[in-house]
Amino acid sequence: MARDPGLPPRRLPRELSDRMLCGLFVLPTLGVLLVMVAYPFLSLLYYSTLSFSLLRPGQAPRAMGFGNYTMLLTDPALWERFVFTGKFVVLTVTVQMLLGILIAYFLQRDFRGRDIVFTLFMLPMMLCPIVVGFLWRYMFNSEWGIINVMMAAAGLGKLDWLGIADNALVAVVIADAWMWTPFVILLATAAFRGIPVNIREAARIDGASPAFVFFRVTLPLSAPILAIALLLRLIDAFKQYDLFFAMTGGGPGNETMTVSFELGKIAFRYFYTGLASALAVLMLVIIVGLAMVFVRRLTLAAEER
Amino acid sequence: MARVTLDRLTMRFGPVTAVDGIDLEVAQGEFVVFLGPSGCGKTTTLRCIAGLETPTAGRILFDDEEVGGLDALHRNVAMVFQFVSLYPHLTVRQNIAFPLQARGVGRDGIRRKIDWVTRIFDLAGILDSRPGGLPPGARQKAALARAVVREPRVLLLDEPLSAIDEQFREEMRWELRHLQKELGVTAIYVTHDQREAMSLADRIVLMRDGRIEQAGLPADIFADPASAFAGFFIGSPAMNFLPARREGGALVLAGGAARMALPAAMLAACADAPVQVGIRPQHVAPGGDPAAPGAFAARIVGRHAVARERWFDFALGEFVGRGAGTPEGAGNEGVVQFDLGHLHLFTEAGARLRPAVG
Repeated sequence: MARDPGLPPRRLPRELSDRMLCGLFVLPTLGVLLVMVAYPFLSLLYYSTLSFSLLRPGQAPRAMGFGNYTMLLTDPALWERFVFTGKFVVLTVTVQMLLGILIAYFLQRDFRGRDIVFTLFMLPMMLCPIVVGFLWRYMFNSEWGIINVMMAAAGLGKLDWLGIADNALVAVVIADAWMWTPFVILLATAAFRGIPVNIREAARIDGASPAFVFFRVTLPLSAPILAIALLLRLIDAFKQYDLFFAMTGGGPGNETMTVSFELGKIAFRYFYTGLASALAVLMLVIIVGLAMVFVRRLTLAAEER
Repeated sequence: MARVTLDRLTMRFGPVTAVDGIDLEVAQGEFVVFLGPSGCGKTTTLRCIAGLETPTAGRILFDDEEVGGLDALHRNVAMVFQFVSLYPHLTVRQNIAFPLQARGVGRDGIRRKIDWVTRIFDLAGILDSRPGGLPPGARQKAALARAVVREPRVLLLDEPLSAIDEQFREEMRWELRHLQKELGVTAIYVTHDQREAMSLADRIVLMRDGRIEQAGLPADIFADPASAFAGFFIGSPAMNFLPARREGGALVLAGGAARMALPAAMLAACADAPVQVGIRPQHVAPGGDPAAPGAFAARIVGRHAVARERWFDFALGEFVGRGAGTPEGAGNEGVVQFDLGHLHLFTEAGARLRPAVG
């Protein structure tokens, strides 16, 4: 369009710069995020400083400051829940990572029906956690569960799997590892396949045995993806709720209650909304802290390359 | 440092025969270049020697030991690949140490070896860098250092210089050639670049469709190609191939566009079937007497200057060929003179026709 050069430059179109345009495009998403994430998060922080219950909206909330936090952090019973959760997380994630990497390693070689085997391995991950929980609960039943039946047949005697805290921990670790090892297999397979053929061949020609190649080439080169698998498994295990709910109900007593289980109880059985909010914030801090450590290390590793 | 023998080496991938019964002996310390177009089986042959592929049939011997059944891991060969194959998570130093560690060489031994290759390849400045940050030339130098540090029985090179800038490549070629002679290692080098082959090789093995087309000294293959393919593939600019037919005491060129007198022995070799006259542009000169043996009148259709070289294009009917030099005048009419000492005759299928020695 031809414009009279005598006119003063038009203002509006000029000010709709690229940056503004970007802003406009981002705005809807930003709005959704504000409503769905920022608002709940801020209200969570706010509730965590109050003493109040969702069930009694008539009763005025009472400001507690950090009262809820002190109450939680000085409660030895809650510390026990953290210790138990920690044990569970370390056990289950260790088993999943080792097993997942091992299976992925053997699934690398070509054999007939590999794709079918691979698909079968992926199945547990696709099931609903609560269903998995009940499945394993019945399998671990001390009287007629298949595991005890088989153990008895093998002459090992029956075990009270879910009635003794240590046994129950092992049982849930088995169920959780059964369900989530496939995820590690998936990511480890992707990581292994991402290593250039050239590099594997170079290692073979360099006279490296399969074990030497695995520990000196394959693992280090897969480390970034394996680290992501580890982080996701840590976070998920830390939040584990369904399996305990279905398999042990937190028992015997409350010895197999995880922190999330405890949180669920405080929030939705007793409806101490303020206290539950404070515990949720604590869990969030732990998870975000964990994630930050990993992101840091990944960025450092990327910069070194 | 071993002598390498291939005995009827054959490699099939399903219905495709990539290497078709190759016999070859590479002497200890020799620098052999496998040359050929892509798909001719040169890389597959190399990978068989490396132990990365198991041949379908035939034997591979290092000195007199049969290695066909050994995996790459146990052959003590070294290989430099076309694309970077350094371990990206290790420094150049760690990369060079890798094959030594894999073989269980001790700490002191490794240090001594690394000092040695660092001196040869002039790597001091990059020993502690990771390969990702290095230019392609430096990376391939490091890859070469990693290859020779273990003193392999055979050094295999799969187009190692093709990812490097033209100018630096020339320099790397000289250096590689010099190093190979200094170390005395048996080297087999794969390339599709005939100039690379000409400047590196003690002996060129020209391959086509999984077979050896011709093997010999670079100068011999250039001067005396065994087939039209060998003539075409080696030398730059490419050899001219004129369709021709014997008629009385002369050759009729390009479907009757010109007649060229030839010595009787050469004519006798042609028999009565159509032939191809192969001659390199370097041996085609402008001017002279069109009735002389090897000369004929043609149209001059182009003149080119490449640096200090002068080339011209001549046309005969549909056929366009190339010669060396500057035709006199600016006109289209001219005479082309073939150097009969470098004129080769081939059948239509490309087989060489040799005049009876008399």
